[in-house]
Amino acid sequence: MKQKNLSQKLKKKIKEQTEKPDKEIKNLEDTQKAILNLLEDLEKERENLQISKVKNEAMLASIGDGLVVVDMNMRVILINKAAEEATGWSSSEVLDKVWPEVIMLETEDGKKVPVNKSLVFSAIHSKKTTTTTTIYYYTRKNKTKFPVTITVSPFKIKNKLIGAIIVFRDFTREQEIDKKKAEFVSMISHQFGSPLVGIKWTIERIFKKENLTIGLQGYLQDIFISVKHLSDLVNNLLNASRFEEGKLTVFAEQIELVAFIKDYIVGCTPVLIKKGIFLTFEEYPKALNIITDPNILWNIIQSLVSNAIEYTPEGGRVRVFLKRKDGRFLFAVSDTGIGIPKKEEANIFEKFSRGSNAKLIKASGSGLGLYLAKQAVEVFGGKIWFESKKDKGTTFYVELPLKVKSKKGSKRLA
Amino acid sequence: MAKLKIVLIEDDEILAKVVREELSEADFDVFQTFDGEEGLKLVRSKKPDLVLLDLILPKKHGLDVLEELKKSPITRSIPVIVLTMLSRDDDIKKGLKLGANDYIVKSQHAVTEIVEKVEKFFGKETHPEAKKSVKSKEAEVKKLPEDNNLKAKKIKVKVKE
Repeated sequence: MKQKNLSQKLKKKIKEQTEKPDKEIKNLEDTQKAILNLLEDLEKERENLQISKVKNEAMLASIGDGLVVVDMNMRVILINKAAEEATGWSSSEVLDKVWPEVIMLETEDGKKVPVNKSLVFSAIHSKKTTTTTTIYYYTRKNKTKFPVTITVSPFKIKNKLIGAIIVFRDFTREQEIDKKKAEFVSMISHQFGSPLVGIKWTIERIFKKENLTIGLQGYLQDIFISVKHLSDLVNNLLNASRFEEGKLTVFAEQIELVAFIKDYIVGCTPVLIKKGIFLTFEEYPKALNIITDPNILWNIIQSLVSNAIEYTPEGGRVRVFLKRKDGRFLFAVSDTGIGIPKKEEANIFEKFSRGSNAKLIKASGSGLGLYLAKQAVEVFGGKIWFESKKDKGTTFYVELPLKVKSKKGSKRLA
Repeated sequence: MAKLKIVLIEDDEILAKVVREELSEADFDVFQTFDGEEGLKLVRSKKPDLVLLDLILPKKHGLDVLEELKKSPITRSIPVIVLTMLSRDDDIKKGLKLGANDYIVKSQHAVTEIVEKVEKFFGKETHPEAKKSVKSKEAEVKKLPEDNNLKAKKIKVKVKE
């Protein structure tokens, strides 16, 4: 009996003993499964990360612009392939180096920009994106220089500033194109200019030397007007390209504005008579002395007044106003002309843009007048705007400072 | 009094002809040539009272002609007015730096104005006869429609050094 009991106990124990590992094994197996699942997830995650890393790298590599990421001390964390190629520095050579020291920024006139005045420095310290507005030069590893435009943006993670991203573009090709364009413009100026002046001067000679019949005088006047249009067009094209180069010279000097405007208006008399338009200079101060570049101002007045005359039908009215307004003056030209169609209003200051109704009246306009006027107004730091009603008329307003500063550039307006 | 001598170096035949005729009528002795090298020779041989010099010239650029004239003690004191088509500050500045006395941008002037500029340059009291001709010129030129552009350009543009 005792033995039987014993053997039963033993059996039970053995059974327990053998069952326990089974359970543990099962537990272990479960755990293993879980771990495997986790690993699988991790692997997937890793793959995803890998893919995203490859994507990022591919993106960085394929960006045509140079891209450099620096930390708060302006030390390089990352440099893309385009930046390596442009500068001649490899990633391993510049990592952890202070970027503005490596690349040495220079201004257009060859002055070195100190590190604490560099764009990177100012972007990190002002926490604002900084973009170059003039051409700077970077120095390559081999000491040669190349023109760049640069944008530096502060680099934040979860709102914490951790450095800056520098994006730069090699500007060499654009500069070459600019140079070619300038050469072309200069060529046009000379090649078109000489024959035009030749025609004008010859007409002058004919008027002076020959006894002309009234009919012949009329024809010659027509030739003169055509030549004038053509030379105006050449001048406008030249001026447009000068504004675009941004190297316009401003020669500020004192003028009396009321007389200046009257002078222009008097010059319009023949056209006004011919077209039967009544032009009045209605409101103006006794005298208004201003400091400005008369050449540029003349272009603005000319563009607005000549447009008003051009696009006002016979018998219409053009009114000119001048008002002093604190440190500025307001010049306005109001006409009873064809107006600007509503949906074209937004584009009216764009280069070569012409109102659809304007084209019907005069096929040959260049679409440069208002574009140039706007550019000129901007050079002076002023404003230009208009109010218009189709078939009723248009008023253009120009607000300009009484005093503009001279600015040294390389070109004057033609 | 002997006539004042002017050497005109201008490669555009028509412009050269018109300016030559106008200046001759205003009682100047005009010698004219079409290229820079010839121009240099002509100035050296004629020793004129004034040189009117175009810039873009065959064989030798106007600025080079100017530089050589100003280098030589024989021609250094002869005044030079640059005639140019380009109203680029760079060229004008270079010209003035090299010793040009004045410049005229051709497209910005009527031909009579060029003669007026030359006369003014010599501080010449306009001869009564010449005055008459200037007047009749004015009267007749007025028959032409006004070229408004020219007015603004008459405002003398100073080139700051």
